[in-house]
Amino acid sequence: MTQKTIAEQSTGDRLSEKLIAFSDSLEKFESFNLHLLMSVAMGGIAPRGNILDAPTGRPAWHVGISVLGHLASSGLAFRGVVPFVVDEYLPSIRKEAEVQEGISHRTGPHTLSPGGAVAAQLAHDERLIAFVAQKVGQSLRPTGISSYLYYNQTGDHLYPHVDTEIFAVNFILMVKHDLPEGRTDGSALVIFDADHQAKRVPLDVGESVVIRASGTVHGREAVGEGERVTILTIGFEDERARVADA
Amino acid sequence: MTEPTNPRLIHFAEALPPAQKYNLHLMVSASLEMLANRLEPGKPPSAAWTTAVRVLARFGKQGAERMGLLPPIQVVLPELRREARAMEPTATRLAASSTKPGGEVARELARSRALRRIIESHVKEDLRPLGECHYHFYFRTGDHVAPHVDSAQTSYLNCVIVVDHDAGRDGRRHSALNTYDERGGRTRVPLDKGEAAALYATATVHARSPVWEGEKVTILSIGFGPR
Repeated sequence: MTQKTIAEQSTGDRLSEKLIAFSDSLEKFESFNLHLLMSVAMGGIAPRGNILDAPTGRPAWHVGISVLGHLASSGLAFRGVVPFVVDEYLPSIRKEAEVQEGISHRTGPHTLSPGGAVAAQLAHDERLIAFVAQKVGQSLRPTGISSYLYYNQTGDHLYPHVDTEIFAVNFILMVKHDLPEGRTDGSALVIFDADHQAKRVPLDVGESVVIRASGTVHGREAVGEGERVTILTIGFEDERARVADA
Repeated sequence: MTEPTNPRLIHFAEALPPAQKYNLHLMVSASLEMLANRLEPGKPPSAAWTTAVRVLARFGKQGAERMGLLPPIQVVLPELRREARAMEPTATRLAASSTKPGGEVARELARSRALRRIIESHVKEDLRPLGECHYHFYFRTGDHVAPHVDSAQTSYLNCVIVVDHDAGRDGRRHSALNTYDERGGRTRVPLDKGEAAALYATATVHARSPVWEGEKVTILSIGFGPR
């Protein structure tokens, strides 16, 4: 490790420690704003997660990963196939995603539409709620928010960010991934974890992940020419949080 | 609007040593583009936007002043244009614009005592040259720079010079330097060809609005620090 890297790291570490201590002193609304500000900063520092190409931003990037991971739970809790989701829901979800694309709109370098009736049914399926809760080790409830995200134009991607509380825990299902002939590897979900290393999480159609998304910086790599990706995201929140607010 | 984060984060930022302050400044600056995307005319900004702008305001002076046509620039303007035109094809593409460090003509202007004195008389503050000068090219339809602030290491005060500005296909010049305030308000700083503005770039949120079809803008920015 070079001297410069050590200096960068220690500046970042010290700032992280101070911001973490500072964040502990904040009221809920204050904390919400700090969380939002730092979340959108990550996409500004490295819009495609290419932090190695942005050396001046590296300490700030590491500060963001650390502080956001402190403000909310972080980590990838599950990756794989949930049989009943694939067997009972995937065909209908694929159809619904195509229909919903008709009312989708650009919300950045990607397109988004709200989930429809099938997505809502899956979000409230007791088996899914129990499965996701078991993976993260806490009681959850669906927030009622689900979205289809479409990456259909060359270069479409999702900036590194964390989710708000309505996606504190995010169930992400790969609905469709079309690659042009001759290509086998395409755009993947990327998770920037507490060890500050980018982890590619490629998913086959029908595979899903459960992420503690309000504390885990994540994004999507850009799709290449002729590549098309559709995912479904379903938000869950800590059941106790809602009770505490009441 | 409730904005309780502001005073506490400002106080927090002010207490940091320089290296940590630099990184917090960078982080808050990096949040501006996406926070700006959420600004809606006639509606109050998010508390996060207000927080960001107020925190950044503590990193230097704020404001942008149109200085008009300045003699030291007018003398070399034809040479600047020639230099810029020669450099544009090899400029580095950024998110939605291209840039290239200034050549000999630009560097000579950046060192000009006459230019510095005129700027000092406008802003009523002594400045020191930082040796930073860059051309910025907005040549493709939609080219722009999103709201941001500059690093204090490169431009506490930025002399923004419109080296060239070709109108779009509709015969109009749409793109301009814009500054933003904590309420989400945007102020256009219109500059004609050859004119310059003094921008306190470290603490003033600023952007360049997009060029329209056929419109081309060439800017030279020269950075100064406080004396």
